[in-house]
Amino acid sequence: MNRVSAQTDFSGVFREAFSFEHEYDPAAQVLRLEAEHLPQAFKLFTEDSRLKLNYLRDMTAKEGPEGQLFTVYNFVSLELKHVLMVIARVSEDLVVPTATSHWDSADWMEREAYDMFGIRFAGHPDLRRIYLEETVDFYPLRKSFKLDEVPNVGDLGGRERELAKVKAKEEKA
Amino acid sequence: MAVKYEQPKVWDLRWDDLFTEDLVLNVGPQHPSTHGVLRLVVTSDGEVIKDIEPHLGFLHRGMEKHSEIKEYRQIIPLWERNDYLSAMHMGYMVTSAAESLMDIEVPRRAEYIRVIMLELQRIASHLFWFASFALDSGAVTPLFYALKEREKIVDLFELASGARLLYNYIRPGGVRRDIDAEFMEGLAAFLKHFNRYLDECEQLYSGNAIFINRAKNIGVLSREAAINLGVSGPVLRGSGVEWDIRKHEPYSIYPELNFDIPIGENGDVLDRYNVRFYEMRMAAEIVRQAMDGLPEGDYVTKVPPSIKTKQGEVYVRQEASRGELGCYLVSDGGKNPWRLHVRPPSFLNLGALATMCRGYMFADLIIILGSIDIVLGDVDK
Repeated sequence: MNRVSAQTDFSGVFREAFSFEHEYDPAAQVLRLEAEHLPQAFKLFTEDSRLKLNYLRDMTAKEGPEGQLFTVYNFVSLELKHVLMVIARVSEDLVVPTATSHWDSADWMEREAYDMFGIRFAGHPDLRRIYLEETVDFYPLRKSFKLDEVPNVGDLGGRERELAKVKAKEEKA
Repeated sequence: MAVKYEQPKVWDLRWDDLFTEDLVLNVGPQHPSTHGVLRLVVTSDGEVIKDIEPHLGFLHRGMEKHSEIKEYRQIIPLWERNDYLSAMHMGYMVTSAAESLMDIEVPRRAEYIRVIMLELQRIASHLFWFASFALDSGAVTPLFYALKEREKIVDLFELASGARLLYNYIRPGGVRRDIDAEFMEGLAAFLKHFNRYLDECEQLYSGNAIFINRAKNIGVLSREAAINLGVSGPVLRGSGVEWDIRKHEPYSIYPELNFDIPIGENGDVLDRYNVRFYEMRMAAEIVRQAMDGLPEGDYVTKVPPSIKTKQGEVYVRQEASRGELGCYLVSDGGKNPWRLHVRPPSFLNLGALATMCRGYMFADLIIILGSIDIVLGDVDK
């Protein structure tokens, strides 16, 4: 596990700036909120002199145990050397405000999250699938997508087994 | 939209109001200089690049999904195929993510061996970059020099782990096998001449006037742009940002070691080139220090064959050869990860290509792409 050089407690800043409900854990440096409040949070992250989170190092999504989707952002301030992880709960309509308005690094990472989870990012300049074909109609990293039920993979295994049986028979004869 | 960062106004200098039709050109996916299967759709005005749109996914193997149905030990060799030129770093990534959700203490000897391997891997990877970068810029000879030297490191890895490309060596609890006297002898012999070898390379190539004219002031990425685009590693440091995870968010035994971080001035191709060369020297220095301080003791702690992690989520990161290699692991307390996301450095570095190339000539595209040092397996996951 990495040792972080500056462990700043942001609870005062967040309490002062956010009028909505949020949950902040200073020990783990994790902020949890609803995705609809993200634009307000992004504005604070870049503009507040106590935060200055200028580097979005990672952005992804995850699925909770009950099928609830979350987007996860990892920030670091290259100037003040502190970090913050933001976990935002995605609403039912699967639309999340984009982070590209502040950080260009979010561009491809949001396309990836859209590709893998089907989360649409409102305001993204070019929201297309990044790895898979546009014609694909599933979102592979959702838990409802089962790897062993993909027809191709199963077929290949079955076909190989058949071939092995044929070969074994031939060897016997 | 507000302007987020300033870039040098190369496009404005070369642009004129003479109407010429835009040329759209496909580079790749089968092209020797794209280092794999990468398709670039280049829009240019005459020979001046206007915009580049990379198309990814030709090598997408769905590794994140596969990680969810495999156990931690099975994931390590899987992810080593992600960035096959720095497989040690990939192995360490999965290991450190799993270890930070486990209650185990890694022996100090194991940490030292890991750092020796990680830094040797960095040298090997940078040497391979030097070989291909020189080819991209039109020189063939450095390829043989670089690969000859890389071969010695690969031989050392073979001695330690038995494999030459994908090692499966670093694992939860420590490393797979202890290093022996033969390895230490070979390592000492390698380090003895390595700095002299680098001097030779720099005489051969870095000081070459033709190369400098080719690489200077090409593909400039400004400091603000580099930060906003999220590039990392030598590309970020080449743009003048002092940020190295080994120094600023240290892991393993890096805080005990003494090394410098090279930083560029202009953020051009030449700066990225020089940063990588200096990093090789520093990596050799780190290996030397770790070798001198190598303690006696266990090389692995006892870990059950089927690893279970605590419930929780963690984002671990390390400075791999190409930049920040992050791993976001969510565990539900089971034998396999609930979600394992990897932040590949090449992916985000490639995202800065269009910004770097805008306004430069079409002939510069290949050398700029070479200076980013991408591995397509790493980009496509």
